[in-house]
Amino acid sequence: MTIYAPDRVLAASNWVGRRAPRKEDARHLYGRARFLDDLPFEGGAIAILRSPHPHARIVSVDTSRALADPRVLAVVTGEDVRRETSPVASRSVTAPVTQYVMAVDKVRWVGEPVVAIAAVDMFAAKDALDLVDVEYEPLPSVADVDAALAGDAPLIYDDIDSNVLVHDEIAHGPMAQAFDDAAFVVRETYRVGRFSSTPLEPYALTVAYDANNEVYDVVANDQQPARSIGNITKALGVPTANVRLSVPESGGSFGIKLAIWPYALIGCLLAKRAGRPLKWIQTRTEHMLGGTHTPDVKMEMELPVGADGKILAMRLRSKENDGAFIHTAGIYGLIKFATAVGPYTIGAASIDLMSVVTNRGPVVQNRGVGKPAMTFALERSVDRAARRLGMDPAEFRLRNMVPPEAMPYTTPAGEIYESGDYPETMRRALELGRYREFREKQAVARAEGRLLGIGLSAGIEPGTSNIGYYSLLKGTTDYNGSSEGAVVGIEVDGQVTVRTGSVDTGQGHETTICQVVADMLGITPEDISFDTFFDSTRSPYTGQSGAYSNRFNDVEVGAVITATERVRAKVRTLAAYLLEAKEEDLVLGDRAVHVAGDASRSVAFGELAKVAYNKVVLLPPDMEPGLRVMAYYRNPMAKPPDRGDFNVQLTHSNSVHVVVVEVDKGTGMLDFLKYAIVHDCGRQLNPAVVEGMAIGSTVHGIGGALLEEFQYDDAANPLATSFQTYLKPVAQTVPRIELGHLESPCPYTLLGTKATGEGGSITSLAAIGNAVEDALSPYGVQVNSLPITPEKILRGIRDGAPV
Amino acid sequence: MIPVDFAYARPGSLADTLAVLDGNPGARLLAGGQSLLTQLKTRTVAPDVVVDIGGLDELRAIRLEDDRLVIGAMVTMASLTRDAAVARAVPILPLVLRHVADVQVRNRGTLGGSLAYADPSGDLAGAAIASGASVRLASSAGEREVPVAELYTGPFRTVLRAGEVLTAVSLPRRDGARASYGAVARRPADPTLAGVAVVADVDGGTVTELAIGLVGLGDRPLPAPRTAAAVRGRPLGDETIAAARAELDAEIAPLDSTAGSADYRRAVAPVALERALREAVGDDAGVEGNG
Repeated sequence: MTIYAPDRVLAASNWVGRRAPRKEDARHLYGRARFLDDLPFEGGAIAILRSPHPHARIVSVDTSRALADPRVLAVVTGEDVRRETSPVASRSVTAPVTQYVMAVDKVRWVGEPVVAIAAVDMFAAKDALDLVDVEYEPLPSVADVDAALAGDAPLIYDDIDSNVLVHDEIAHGPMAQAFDDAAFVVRETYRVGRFSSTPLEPYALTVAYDANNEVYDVVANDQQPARSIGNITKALGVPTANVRLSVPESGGSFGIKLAIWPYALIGCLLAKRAGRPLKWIQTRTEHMLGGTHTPDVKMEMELPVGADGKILAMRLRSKENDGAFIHTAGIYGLIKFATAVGPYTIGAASIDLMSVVTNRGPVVQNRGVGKPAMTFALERSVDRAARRLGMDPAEFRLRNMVPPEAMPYTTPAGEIYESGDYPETMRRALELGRYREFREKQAVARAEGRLLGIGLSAGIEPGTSNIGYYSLLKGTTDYNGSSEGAVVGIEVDGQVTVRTGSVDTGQGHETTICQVVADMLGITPEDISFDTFFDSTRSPYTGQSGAYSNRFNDVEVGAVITATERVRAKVRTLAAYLLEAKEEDLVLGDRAVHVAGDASRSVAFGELAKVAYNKVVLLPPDMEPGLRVMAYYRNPMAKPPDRGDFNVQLTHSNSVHVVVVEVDKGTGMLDFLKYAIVHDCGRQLNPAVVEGMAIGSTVHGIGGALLEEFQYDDAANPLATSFQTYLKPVAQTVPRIELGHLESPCPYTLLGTKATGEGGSITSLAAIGNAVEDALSPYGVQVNSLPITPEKILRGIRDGAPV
Repeated sequence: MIPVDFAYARPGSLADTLAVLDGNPGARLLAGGQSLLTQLKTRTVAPDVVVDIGGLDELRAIRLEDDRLVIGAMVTMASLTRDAAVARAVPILPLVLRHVADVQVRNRGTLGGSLAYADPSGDLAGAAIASGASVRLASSAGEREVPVAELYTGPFRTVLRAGEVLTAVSLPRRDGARASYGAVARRPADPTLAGVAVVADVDGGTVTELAIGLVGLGDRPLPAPRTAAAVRGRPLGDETIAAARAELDAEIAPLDSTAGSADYRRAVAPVALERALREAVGDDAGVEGNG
């Protein structure tokens, strides 16, 4: 099957592929963009009382003093939530666990909402938190997977008899044979800490309740509003149209704002009680406490390798610390199948995935979801295997990579790598990163006693989620993420308007879509008005619409193309009729349709639209009026869930990172001497936008590799609750990142595009880990955990302890 | 910022300020606001009165008094960085100021506010101690002067009494002295995990005079008199360095924090010391600086 059809889709080649300046830039760079808190608003405010305990029984909640405050409008407790909403549905958990969006009976993490208060303003709402009396009976708590799985561990959900929400093993290929044939097996346990993307703008929402129409009007900086509408209406037990959700500009998300819906639900309950609109702006500390983390994870990996230097299989036991919220539990383990064998021809793979409950905060999807940790473990083990063989790690990788002639390549689990030249990506990266030259410099540095290290990592960056694979554990098909909707129209004055079912959280969707539509209709991006605001009453969303899983340039662009093609077809038919010409003689340009070779015969878009909307008597007799088209698009490569053969994602970009670091022996601090990336994300619609995302996602990985961690103490009390204790990379600590590109068009997308936006997050962790281990190799120090702190490095240098 | 409600006073003179403080024992002073505003925002402090001393121009002067440089408490870190007289008389100050937070904080933050905040990682306190500085504390009962080395009683705790205001910092002039700051921090603007401020006189490779201020290495900023004594009067060779490192280890008592454990601070303190000493002495010692 081939879907790739740029010649059919594009009528011109003026914009697609160009580094067009972003249409969003002016309002963002001049500070004129209006985010939720900038919008005109009159009403009260919401504040949330959160649990101070990692684990405690709620003995009593007394809100009478708060309600007696004349400034307080309404109060909602966990009991109210239990009475008035249905429990949280989990995507993949089958264990019979009941949980609500606020604490009922028990608190399970520090920061869990216990009471929500609406008051006349934010000052009054915060003051009223001190007027709520909650009596807790603290319970023993657990912070990490080992403690949670111990025989005497306290149970965090009373409805089940362990702290395991999901445990399953899915295996493909001749695993036993691989171990029999292996010359050696690389066995290692890796840990990746909790980190996140901490967008500049935390969660923000307003809710108004229209009692006459019984409509909850929610405005929220939601990343997947389609899903939120489903969750909220289901929880409230109201029809779809009774919740209107709109999304203004969003100050970054990276997955984090997929989890705002529990707060929107709480807001709905409060707004109905308060009888006036309410606003909630999350504080940074609230943001840091939970609902915004990746899980920390313990991964035991086995990599059997043959005497010929071929990796024969990959076996992983993955224990995700998914905190204490069931909504997304299990998905970080499941999604690892998308990159389980990396870019290599590994014939057998198995993942034993376990989602463990602890008293840490909930987790949410974050840039790359599970694949950064998966790639870290695999690419660290690949390095170990190369060392064991005494082979250069680049050479070892080249020997195992899927060759370009094997494309499309299907992995043991069923993931389809549709295109790419992995060995060539590696060769170019070695060149761009001056790999051989740095190996020579390394030899000189070592002779001087300096610790210089070179790290490689080859990663697969998947896009467009076939969310159906979540159902593997449930055995039913709940959702599929491979579709999107769009409306494209030509208005009566000739202006082209575009709207989609998704949102933009800063990725330049407006610019990119306008480039595509411009080349489809022979116009310029300035001729197009793109509606950046999602509104459930008018946006053509599907069940899984949203800006996640690197799906934009596949299904969202696909929906826009489909709608635009239909508009274009109608425009051509109508123009041919009006010009009394043959359709095949018509060309589009300058917001008009022309007869090729005859400058005197043309009709402007505006005139066509006037006929289509106003002067409808001039239309061909069988033509429907109007020039707006709503279209839905799906990527047909998504397979229905089947444990023996399933694909997690539908497009696959690839990259190689080359990293050179120097470690300061005295302090354990490190400097980057080189950071080079060559990546292949198929056709680039706007290379400047792609570069921004490639660099941004790599910086995300640098943070997770070296700095960022939501640390907890042994009792699961959070230690990183502000940017003073949660360290992000800053301008001075981020190296200059050099980028090189290959373009292997994807056969299964209309314009040959592939996943773009998460690649750096996925591939960087291992590249940095490999570089540090290489630097520390004179001391034989292994790097098995992230983040790699100066303290761990120094300990390694002093006593050989693994980092 | 959504703080707990407070009353706000902005007196026009030091005398008025002292009167307001006398009448409001729960008052907090607002200088540059770089610490207090954050605490108000997170509601970790909730004073009934905030006394803004931004109107006290009398606390903004920098002047020479005989052999001392006296800097008003309300002088911002940014203006200290730019002041040539300060750089000449107290060469350690501009070096240390580069490590204090970031440009925005230095534009608003004041020298007096920073010293009074008593952060165990407060770089400026290390510089003040290495400079032999003292602070002037005024109250309605009069004025007293306390060496910065004796100002602190613990983390974020000082000898300041209720009703007292830190009005100025008095530093002995050290024109021509060598200065260096060895500091270890996770990122450029982060709290210093191990900071060693060194002010020295060097004569032909021999350290004739030396004072050391330490930050991040105890529950408060510390002097390091025994470490300094191990170096004073000696050429800065490997033997001297080794002796100094050993003394330093006995003089520090670092605490654990999320940013860096006590063990790590103890491990890197001698590295910071050695780098600071070598840089301060420079070519005179015949060894290459490594700061």
